[in-house]
Amino acid sequence: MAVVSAEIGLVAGARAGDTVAFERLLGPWVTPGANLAFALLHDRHEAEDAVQEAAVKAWSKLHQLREGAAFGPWFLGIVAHECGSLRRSRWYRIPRGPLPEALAAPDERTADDDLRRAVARLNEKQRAAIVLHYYLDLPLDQVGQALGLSTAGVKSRLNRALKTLRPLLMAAEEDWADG
Amino acid sequence: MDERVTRRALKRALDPGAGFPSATLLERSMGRLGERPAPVERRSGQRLAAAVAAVLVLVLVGVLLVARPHGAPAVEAPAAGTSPTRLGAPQLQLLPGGGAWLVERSLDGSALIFRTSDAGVHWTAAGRLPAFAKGAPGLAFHFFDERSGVIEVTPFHVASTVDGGAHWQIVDASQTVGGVVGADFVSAREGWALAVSQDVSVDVLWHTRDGGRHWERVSQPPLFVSAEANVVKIGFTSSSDGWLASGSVLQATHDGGHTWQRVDVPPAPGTSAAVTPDVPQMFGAEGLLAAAKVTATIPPTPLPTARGDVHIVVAQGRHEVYASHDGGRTWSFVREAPGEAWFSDARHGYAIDGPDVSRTPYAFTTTVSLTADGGATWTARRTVPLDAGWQESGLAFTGQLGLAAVFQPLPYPSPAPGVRATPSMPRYSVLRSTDGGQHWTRVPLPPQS
Repeated sequence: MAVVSAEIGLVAGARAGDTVAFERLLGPWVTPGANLAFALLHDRHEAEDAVQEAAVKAWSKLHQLREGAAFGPWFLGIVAHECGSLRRSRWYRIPRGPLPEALAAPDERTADDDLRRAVARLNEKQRAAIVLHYYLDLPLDQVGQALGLSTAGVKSRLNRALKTLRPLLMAAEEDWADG
Repeated sequence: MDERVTRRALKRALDPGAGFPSATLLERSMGRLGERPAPVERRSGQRLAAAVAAVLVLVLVGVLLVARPHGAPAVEAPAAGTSPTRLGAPQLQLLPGGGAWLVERSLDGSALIFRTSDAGVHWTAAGRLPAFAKGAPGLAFHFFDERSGVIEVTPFHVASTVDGGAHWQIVDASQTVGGVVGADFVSAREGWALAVSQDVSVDVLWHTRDGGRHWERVSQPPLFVSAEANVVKIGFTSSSDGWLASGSVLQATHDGGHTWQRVDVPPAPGTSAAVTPDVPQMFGAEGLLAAAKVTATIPPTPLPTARGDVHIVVAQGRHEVYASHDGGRTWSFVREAPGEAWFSDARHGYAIDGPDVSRTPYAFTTTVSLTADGGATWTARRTVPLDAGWQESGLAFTGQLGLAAVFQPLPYPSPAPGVRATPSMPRYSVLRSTDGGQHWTRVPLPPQS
């Protein structure tokens, strides 16, 4: 992906320790990063924590960003990695959803609920690829950059994930059209 | 299916709702940059660290004796001629009699298995499991003694041995059972698996009596599994008695999983917050249960879901121990534990404090505390020795005997367009203590080849 010269300048400035340059780099990617983290963690506060952790790591590891590579997908990759670490290292086990009494019977769940559950049960890389491409609208090459995959690898993961999700996607769409 | 339709459906399903993220998120993120050195400083520091690490790798063939802060426990030098560090991701299980098993996962998804009969002094190879999927799939194991055990690997394969790892029966149960979210075994033959049905709307409990060759569906809803719980744990203590912990709900079965009843775990006196119980550990009629409890919450923020906006947002928590004297029917609070607790019998147990994921950088110190009275009192022992940048990945105690696996995590790979990150494995060591964690010795494992 071609990187505009303004971003190259900002990366160079941030690498030299300029926090203003880093803030200008980071700013446009905070909301996409938070949305990615929410889709992976299903918790608003943990999602924001993950973005903050990712920002700190991006700051300290900015020298690892390859010359000419775009900052955004690289940062989203760190967010995805941070979410994975957070899920694995949680020392507590806390209910993430409504209390059991508030749960509707299975037949009262909406198609969107089932789709969200299905996405949550994809493996990490498939889930991240789905969210980055279909939810955040990143092109395939940028999804690859974020996840450390080739474009073919991204396509393969998306296809496998869509195979799992397709019946639920159709149901959700029909539900939406009916509603 | 139309890509536009796919996008539309996923955007609706994954929408976090209004007001997210907070308007101050960028500002808060920037405010934390001071926690880490600026990139330039970091670079030079990392180069130095890399140089030191390179030298260490060369020296490690012989002896690894690293200077450590005053007060940290000592690690003895390994036996001459053995390498204390290996490549892989280790997990270990210590048995009550001092036997132990260690499963070392490799980069290709395969796993090497080792066991010891003399409390970790000598280890023997006990087989290798092939890769059932690319990458590093999930793996869990249940060893019952020095001869028998079960290893489950995703996609759901069940490997069992009854002869100390000389032979393994491997069954691919992924097509029968499907999306397993939790499993437990009471022997190399009998076990249960909680799975999500193909339409992902129903959770089903499966039962096997032959090491996973055949599965019988034993329960359907109203078995409750919280759709959003982080961890669903299932545990059986006999062919009839089992437990399911899902979020704040603990359920018990006494008929092999056919029917389930909710079990109350009342909060500690003077508190009201619900606890999040683990699966209890039962020793006859006596039982001990570790639980987490929220002690401070950020003001509740409604998270829109189709089922309502009820949500508890966690800021901090603590660990607690509960006891039962009637086979797990009723539970009472014992006291707060100094970390997540495990028990080897109704009186002896240990608690591990750390890592503290709420701190940045993470506090990877690990403190071990021991109890000899069922969690009523705890004695803090010294921390597991960790070289700079190393973490503890597995720790178990039985009485004063402790085994720990420590590893050096990999740096985050720098992705580049069209370039796959070069895979590599973390280095790890196995440590042994015979005095409740005061002193640790590195122990060698058989060659990896």
